Formats: sequence, C-alpha cells, structure tokens
Amino acid sequence: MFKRILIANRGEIALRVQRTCRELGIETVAVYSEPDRNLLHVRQADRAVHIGEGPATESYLNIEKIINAAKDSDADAIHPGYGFLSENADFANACVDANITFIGPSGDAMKNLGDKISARKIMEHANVPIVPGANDVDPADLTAAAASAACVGFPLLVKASAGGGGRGIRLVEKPEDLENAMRLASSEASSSFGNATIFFEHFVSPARHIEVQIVADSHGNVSAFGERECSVQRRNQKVLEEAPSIAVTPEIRERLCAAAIAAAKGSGYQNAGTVEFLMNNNGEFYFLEVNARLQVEHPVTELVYGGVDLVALQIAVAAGGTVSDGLVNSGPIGWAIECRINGEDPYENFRPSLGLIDYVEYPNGPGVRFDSMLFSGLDVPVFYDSLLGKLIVWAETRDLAIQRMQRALQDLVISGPQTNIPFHRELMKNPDFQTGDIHTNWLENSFNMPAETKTENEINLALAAAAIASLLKSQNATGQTMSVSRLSKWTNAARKNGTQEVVISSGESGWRRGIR
Amino acid sequence: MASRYPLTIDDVNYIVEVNVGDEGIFVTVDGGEPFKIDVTTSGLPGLMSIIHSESNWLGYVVPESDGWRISHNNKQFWVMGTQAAKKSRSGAGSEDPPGKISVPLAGVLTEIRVGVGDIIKSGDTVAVIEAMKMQNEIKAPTNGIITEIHLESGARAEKGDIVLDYEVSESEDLP
Repeated sequence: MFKRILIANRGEIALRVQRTCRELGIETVAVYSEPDRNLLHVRQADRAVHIGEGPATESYLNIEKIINAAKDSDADAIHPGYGFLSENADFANACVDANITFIGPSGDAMKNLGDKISARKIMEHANVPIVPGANDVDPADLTAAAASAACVGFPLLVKASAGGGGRGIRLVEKPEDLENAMRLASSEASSSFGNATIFFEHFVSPARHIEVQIVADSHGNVSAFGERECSVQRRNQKVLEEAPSIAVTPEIRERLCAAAIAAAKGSGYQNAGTVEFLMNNNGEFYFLEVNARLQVEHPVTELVYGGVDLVALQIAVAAGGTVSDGLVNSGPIGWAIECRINGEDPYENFRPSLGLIDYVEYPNGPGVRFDSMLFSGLDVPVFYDSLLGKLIVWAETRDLAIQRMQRALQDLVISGPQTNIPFHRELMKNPDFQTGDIHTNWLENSFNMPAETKTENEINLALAAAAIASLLKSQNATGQTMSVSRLSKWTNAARKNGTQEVVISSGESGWRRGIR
Repeated sequence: MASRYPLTIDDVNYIVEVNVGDEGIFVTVDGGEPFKIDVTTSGLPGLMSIIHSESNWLGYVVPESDGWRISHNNKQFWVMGTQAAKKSRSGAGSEDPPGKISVPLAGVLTEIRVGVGDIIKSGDTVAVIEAMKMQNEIKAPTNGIITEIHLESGARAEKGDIVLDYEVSESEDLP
C-alpha cells in the first residue's frame, strides 16, 4: 500500500480524496496555486507544496511542477482527481517515468480512448453498440463525404475525433448544410485540439445520457456499479445527476453493464472509469465515450451501492488489489441525487458570480452529503471552474430523494456570491423532472427559470435588517457603546469579545477588505 | 427612541422607522402597523437573525457604498439609502455614469480592444473579462471617443473598477 499520495487537484475533489486517504492511514500531499493558499485542501493536507501562479497552465496543468512536487515530498503515488491533468496521457506516462504510481488508467489506454474514432473502432471490435456513423471522413473529398453522410442518414452530427466538452460538434439537418458544417468542425478541431480529423454520427434524439461506473483491476477483472442518469445538462455540462435511472430496467442494466465491461476489457482499461452511453426511448443504447477518471458525480453511485468508496477502490487497484468480475449485485439500493452547486446567477443567464463567501451553513441530517470547498471567509478564485460543492442525498425512492433534496436545498445557506441554488429548487418542483421525463436537450429547450420573486414579508424584513444595521453603524461611528438595549443578550455578549468589535462596521476600504 | 431611514429596494422607496423601547424593537414601514422584531447579530460579523411573529429570518448584511447588500434565502437584496446611486444585481456597463465603463464582475481582463482616440459605437465590445473560465464581453453603452484607459490587459479587476473613460458623442452619425 502507498505511504503518501499527492493529490494533483484542488477544491472539493482534493478534499474528497484526502478523506479516503486519511481513513486508510495514507499521508496526503496537497499542491496549490498562489490564489488557492487559503483553501481547505491546502490547510487539511499533511503536506502542502506551492506550485505556481493562478492560471492553471502555470500550476495545476504543469506536469513538471507536479512531478517535482511529488518527488520533493516523497510521494509514492499521484491521484489526479477530475479535470486538469486527469486524462492527460503525457502526465500518466511522466508519473511512470518518475517511478510514481499514477492512480488511473495507463497513458496508452487514455490515448486510445481519448481519440473518438479510435475509441469507436475499439468498441466495434469488442461488440459494444456504437452510434451508427462513418469513421473515416476525408474533409477534402466532398463527394465521398456526401455518400457516407447519406448512408448515416440525416440529421447527423459532424464531430471532431479529438473533441471534448461540446467543441468541434456540428448538427446537420439536411445534405446541403454538410459542407459548411464539415469545414467549421474541422477548423474548430484544428485550432482547439491541433487535430482536424472528423467523423459522422447519427443524431440520436431525444436521448438520455446514461453512464456506467466501472472499476478494473490489473488482473483482468472489471466490476460494473450500475448506471447514473445525467440527462439534465446545460451547454453540454451536467448540472444534476442521479442513480439509478428511472428509464433503466434490471434487464437493460444487465446489458448496459455487460457493454461497459466489454468496453473496459477491449481497451485494456485499468482503475475507475465511466462508460457513457446515449439511450433512446426504446431502451436502445449506444457507446458515446469513456471518461478515463473519477467523475464529478461518482457519489451518487457510492450511495446506492451500499456506501462503497470508489476512491478507496481506485487506490486499492492501483496498488495491485483485485475487484470482483461482473455486475455488482449489491445494488442499486434506494435512490441518490446530486445537485452541482455553482457560483453562477440563474437570474442572469447563469453568468459567473464569485467573490467572498460571507457565510455558509452546511445542510445535514439523514441521507445528506455535501462535498464542498466552501467555508465562511473563502474568496473564490477567478481562475478555475464555478463548482463550489455537490449536494448529494439518498432516500429509499426517487420521490423521497426529491423531497429530501428540497429540504437539503432549504438548509444550505450560501451568503456572498449568487449561486444556482434557486435554480435547483425550481428544478425539484418541475413536473417533467419529477416524473423523470427528461432527455439531454430537455433543460435547454423546455425548462424556464422563473423570475426572482421577493415576498412582502421578505422585503419588510430586509428593510428592518438594513435599518438595524444603519442604526448600529451610526452608533459605532459616534463612538457610542451599544445602546440598542433590547438587542439579544447574546449579541451583547458577543460584542464584548474584542474580536467581534467589527460587527457591521465599514471602514474606508469597505467591509471585505477589512476582514481579509 | 425612534430612528428614521429612507431606504430603497428594487427602485421602490420606503420610509423605515425603528423604535427601541422597553417593550422591544418595533419597526414601521411607510407608516403602517408597527411590527415587533427580536434581532440578534450573533457572534459572527454581518450575520443577522430576526424572529418576527414567531417566524425566522436569517440574513447576512454587508455594507455597500451607501446602503446594504443582504443575502437572505439565497437571494440578494440591495437596500440602499434612497438618495444613493442605484444598485442592482447586474451592474452592467449601461449603469455606469456617462463617460465611464466599469468591470461588471471580478475577473481577469484578458483583452482590451480599443485605444485612446478610438471611436466606439453603442454595443461595441471594448474589453473582455474572464471569470471562471468564461469570457464576458464588456460593451460600450453609447457612442463615444476613448479618452483614457485605466487598466491593462492581463490585469485582475474587481467589480466596479473603471476600465476606461470616453467622451460621449451626441450624434448617432460618427465621422
């Protein structure tokens, strides 16, 4: 087993991995960029190494600095988390070269699966159903491309082989738009990924995004932990995930898991991974891609598979341990839902909202898990993505899980930047969502975020709070001691404490700077 | 002891009176029925809890230039002195005083697309600010001519920092 693991990530996932390491008695090494000095993953790690400035290319994406940090801190393994270098084959290979275990698949497996055309070929060979399409399209030969497109049928997607995150994809409804779409997809792929190779895929719509969690060991065994449903998406980004899927029967689950296991075995995959599928209304599913890492949404699987710790399994198989082969029979039990809590304003078209977190109250109680980087006083850096935390609930049924999520969203208080909590509250109330009648375009096409409402009572109490704040401020300014004698005795007790003298006071440079 | 505050939320003006007496704290909004509140600011700066008619209200109160920004129930309430400048959620360029364009949200200014002397038209993108891996364009609210640029590309900027000054052109027909 490992003695010390460096976690090449930040935020909630770095904390998530740390917690498992601590339970296993493994020391942790955090890496941090300049603006992340104050983050919890830095404060709570056994060791912490500064690796550079804020921009990710100078820190969390810098292979050399991270490998050096691992060497300096004498780490014998690296956990990459998700995002950043987690699916970078060069990084996985650099770890091997430095004699450090990379907790993830091999660089070769990553490379083969990262390229969409090569992944399609591997899956075809392994008898995994793929979306009907045409693999080798020559952008220069339009006649041949048009013939291939006619075989695939319209509407179709023109996709970049090296694409990701929704880039390099064009939807083509009719033959005359094909040439233009090919040109755009190809040039976008060339500039974004340095690879202009494109292919065609039949457009499966409406479709659900269904993915299977697998863990593969180094002895040829692959465990499949059932499915997750991630159809609630905005701009190709998942915003809510659940396990199991309301559309997956035990029979479909068995076929999905068999396909995922075949995909893993066919690509020589090791460690935890996710095989993504598109599934139509008839329960027919097609391979989409493999995410060669731990997923953001892995906790929903953990909760319905008896609390299995997927990070612990990752560490175990990286150290040579074994898993059972086949579909894990212990679940799914009950229902789990995860809401991604992002720093974005749902009333302003989800534009980023960030800055100082004034105050946070964590939700708690039965069946609630909050994996989060948040604490009161955190100044959310501008350099990274807007995920602040993941609110995850478990309950016996989907309906009860929705009720529990509504309660947990009520309990979660984040003061400071605007978050998407009001959006999730609306989502939980939505009839389509409640019946599970969703597909990947549902959120963008059919869901409307209602305008913000403020009740008369809320307005009155906000006015009262502002008036009290003004009263206290004027008394502070004139040097008066607390003369609002009817304030709670607890307030007065707190105000006697020297460190609390700043209660609702504002200096010249403002409140925020005052407490930094 | 009564204190009187003219306050504004979402462009609506209110007169709020606070009376602190032996019977407790009473608040009157626009001369209506006074209501009693039990208020504590707790041990944490800015955190305010109010119990009113046995129901609970929790808010976090932060001073803003001439008023307060209050977070309650994951919503933002800007409660400003009635005479103070308007503040709202968006803080978009159009709310800048004439002749100035500010940063609408904190981030890194990745691009400044204009120089001193440039003629800008309403809706032109003058700069780009990146926050959380998303590019946000800063647009000119009216026609004008750039007179001064205060920030450099690559600079970290806070919400409200002035990017540039310009002279407002009255005419729609620019040379």
